[in-house]
Amino acid sequence: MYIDSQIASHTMTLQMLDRLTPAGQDADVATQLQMSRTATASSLAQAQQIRGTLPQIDTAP
Amino acid sequence: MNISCGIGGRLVCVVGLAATLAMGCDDEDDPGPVPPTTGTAGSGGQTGSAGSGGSGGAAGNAGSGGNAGSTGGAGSTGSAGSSGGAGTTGSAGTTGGAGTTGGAGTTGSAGNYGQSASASLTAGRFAGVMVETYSADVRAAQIAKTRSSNGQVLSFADSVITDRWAATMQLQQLLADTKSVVEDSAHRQSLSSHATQTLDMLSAAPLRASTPCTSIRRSRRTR
Repeated sequence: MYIDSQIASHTMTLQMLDRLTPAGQDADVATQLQMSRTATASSLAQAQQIRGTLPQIDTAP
Repeated sequence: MNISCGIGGRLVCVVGLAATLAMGCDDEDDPGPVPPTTGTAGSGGQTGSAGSGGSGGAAGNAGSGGNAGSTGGAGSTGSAGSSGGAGTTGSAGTTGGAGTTGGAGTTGSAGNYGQSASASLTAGRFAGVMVETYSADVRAAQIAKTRSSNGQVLSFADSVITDRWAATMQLQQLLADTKSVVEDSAHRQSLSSHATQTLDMLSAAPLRASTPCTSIRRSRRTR
């Protein structure tokens, strides 16, 4: 349940960051945004990898 | 309102940042609501196809995809406004309704609002979005740690807490460098709503069971 929720929320965050990316007018903001995107994508990949090891119905919340 | 947190209070900091957002929102030039997903508008189109009997009104639902887009346009009044195209897509849905086949309703890809929203991204607004994200992630991880006994899940939760703490510190630095404060936005509010649902769901899960007595007895016998 927890991993599923994290996959959903990380995916949502990534989509939002991608929509915001073209707007990174300020260099500092653009840099931070890219860093956040990289970290979120990495976390999402990790969650997906763990999800693959869990039963179809996530009994570990 | 600058954000400052002691190292010892890092989780409090994350939650505190979110609490900061709850106060004093200035959304006048908000970029608009979170863009509707293309899938939603598409379903409206299917309703339109049901109106193949000539009921153009049903295809009006497809037009509602356009309404979503036009809402984004209203948001763009603050600074940028290029979501007119989305409204046009909604109009296409209406046209489909008029058609006798109803298939036109599939023009649901309305609301490409994100582009117009991005034009006014500020450090404060970006920080608001990310603080909300990090806060929700940390709270979810904390709940998971009390409910899961899976080693991988627990490890993931720990890493999320650690990573979000570091990321929050980077956001603080960004705000300091740009002399900005955390700002509210439609994006942040959308994330907050989603996070509330997620946390409620996780909280409803049963707490992790304590170690069974039989396991303890077996452990003692083996000593």
